Amino acid sequence: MITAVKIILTIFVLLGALPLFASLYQFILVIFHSKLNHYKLAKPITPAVAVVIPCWNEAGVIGNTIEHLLSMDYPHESLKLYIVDDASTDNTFEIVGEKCKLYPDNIRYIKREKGGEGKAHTLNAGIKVILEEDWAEAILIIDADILFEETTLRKMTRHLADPKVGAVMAYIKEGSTSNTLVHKFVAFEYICAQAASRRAQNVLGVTACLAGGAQLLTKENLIAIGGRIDTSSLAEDTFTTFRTQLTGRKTIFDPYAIVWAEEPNCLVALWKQRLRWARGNLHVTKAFKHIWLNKEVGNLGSFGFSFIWFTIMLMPILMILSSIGLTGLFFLDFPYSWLIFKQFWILNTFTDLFIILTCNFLDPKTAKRTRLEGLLFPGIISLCLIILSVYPNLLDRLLDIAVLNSSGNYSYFGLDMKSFIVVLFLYLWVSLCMIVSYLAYYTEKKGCPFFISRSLLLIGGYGPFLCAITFASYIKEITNSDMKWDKTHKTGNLKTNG
Amino acid sequence: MKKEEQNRTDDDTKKELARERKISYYQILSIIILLILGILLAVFSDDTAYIAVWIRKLFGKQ
Repeated sequence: MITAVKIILTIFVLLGALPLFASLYQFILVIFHSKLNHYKLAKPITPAVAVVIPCWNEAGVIGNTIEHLLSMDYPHESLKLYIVDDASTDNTFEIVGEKCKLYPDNIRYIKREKGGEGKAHTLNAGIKVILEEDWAEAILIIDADILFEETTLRKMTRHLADPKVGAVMAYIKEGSTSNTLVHKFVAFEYICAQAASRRAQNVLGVTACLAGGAQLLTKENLIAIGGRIDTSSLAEDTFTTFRTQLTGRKTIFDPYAIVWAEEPNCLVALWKQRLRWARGNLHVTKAFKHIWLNKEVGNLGSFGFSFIWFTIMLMPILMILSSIGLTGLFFLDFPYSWLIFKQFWILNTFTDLFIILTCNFLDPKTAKRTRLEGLLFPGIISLCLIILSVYPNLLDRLLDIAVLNSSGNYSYFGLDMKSFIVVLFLYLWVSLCMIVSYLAYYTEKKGCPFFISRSLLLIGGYGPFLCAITFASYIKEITNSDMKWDKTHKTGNLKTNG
Repeated sequence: MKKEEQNRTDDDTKKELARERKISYYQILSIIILLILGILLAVFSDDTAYIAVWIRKLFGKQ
C-alpha cells in the first residue's frame, strides 16, 4: 500500500517537472530553426495590404502609429490604413482627420456609433469594409499603439509568396521608454514566449497564437475562415490562428519582422491583460477540443503541440501536484523525497541556464537590457535553490547538513523542529511562490507602498506571477465571471529601438 | 518590384538565415558546455542526487 502511494506521489512530482521538460523541448527545437524555416519559400513581394487599426480613445498614440506605418519601406500605392473608431470619446477623430488630409489615398476612417463591444467587433467593422472594397490582397491586423520598423511589413509579406501560407506574425517586442521592472520582465518574457517559442512552433509546423498586435492574413484565408474575426471569446487572435491552420494553411512567425509595443507597467494592469489572455486560452481549449491529439487535423493535433499547450495551460495545477507529491513523500520516506527534490532543482538549473543563454543568442539587445530580470524570472528564493543546486556539494553542505545532521529533538519524522520547517517550506515553495506573487498584485491593488509589491514580485518571481494569473483564470471560468474587454491603458511612451 | 529592391530583400533573407545558423551553433555549444560542467561537478563531488550517482557510475568513479 505504502509503495503504491509512494509511486503515485512520485508521479505527482514528475508531473510538476513537465513544464521544465516542455520548456527544454521548445528551446531545443529552436536549434532546428536554421533548417526548418520558411525562408526558402519566401520571395520579395508587395501585395496590396489593408491595415485594420481598432481604436478606442487612442489620441495619445494613433498619430505616431499612422506616421510609422506610412513611413515604412513599402509602396504607398499598396498600403491603406483602415482606422476603425470604436466610438472614442477623446480627440482621436481630430487626430485621424488631420492625418487623412495629409495622406488622403492611404487612410480610411470608419466610425462605429455603438462602441465598447470589444476588439473583435471593432475589427469586424473594418474587415467588412475591406472585403466589400475588394482592393486588398492581404489584411494586417494591428493594435493602435504598435510601432512598425521600416522593413517589418516587407519581411512579413515575403512569406505570402508561398500560396500555402494563410497568415504571418511579426515579433512583438516590449519597447516602453520608462523601462520599469515590470516592463523589463515582460521584455524578457517576450524573448522566451515569442522569439524562442514561436521559432519552435515554426519547426513543429504549427502556431499557438498569431498575436493580434501584428497579424497578417491573406484575403483568401480570411474569407475561408468566415470573413470575420471570432467574437465569442477573449482570444480572437488565437481563434483566427487555429481556424487558419484547420483550413490547411500555414502560419509563419518571422523573428526578423519586428514591431514594438507598450506593455503595462503596473501589476494590476498586467494582471487584467493576462487574465483576459488566460481565459481566452481556456475558451480555445474548449472550443477546439476535437483537435487535441487528433492526427487527422495535421500538426495542430500532434503530440508535441498538445504537450506544449497543456503544460502551459495546466502549469499551476502541475506545480501544486509537485508540492503535494514532495510533501507526501516527506511524511512517508524523507530521504527519498529529499533526493527527488534535488533532482527537480538540478533539472530546473539546467533548463534555466539553457533558456537564459538561448535568449542571449536570440535577442542579444533585449537580453542585455533584461539580464537581471532574466535571472530573477523564477524569483529570488527559487534562484537561491538553483544556485545551491549548481554545485552539488554546496547544496549538500547548506541543506543536507542543516537537515540531516541537525541536533536536537528528532521527533518530526526524524528531524528536529527547525529542519522540519525548512524542508516543508522548500517542498511547498513550488506552489507557495504563486501565492507570494499573487500578493504582489494584491498589495499593489490595495494601494500598499510600491516597494512592498515589487519586493514580493522579486521574491515570488515573475514566472509564478503568470502562473497565478492562469490559476485565477480557472476560478473565473468555474465561477462563470463576466467576460470583460478591459482596454489596457497606453501612454504612447514607446520607441522603436527598445 | 524594382530589381534593386528585390536584391535587398534577398540579401536580408540570406543574412537572417546565416544568423539562424549562428544561433543554432551557439545553442549546441551551450548544451555541450553545460553538460560538461554538469558531469565535472558530479564526478568531483560526493553528491547523493541520483543523477550525480549515475554519472559517477558511468565514469567508473564511486
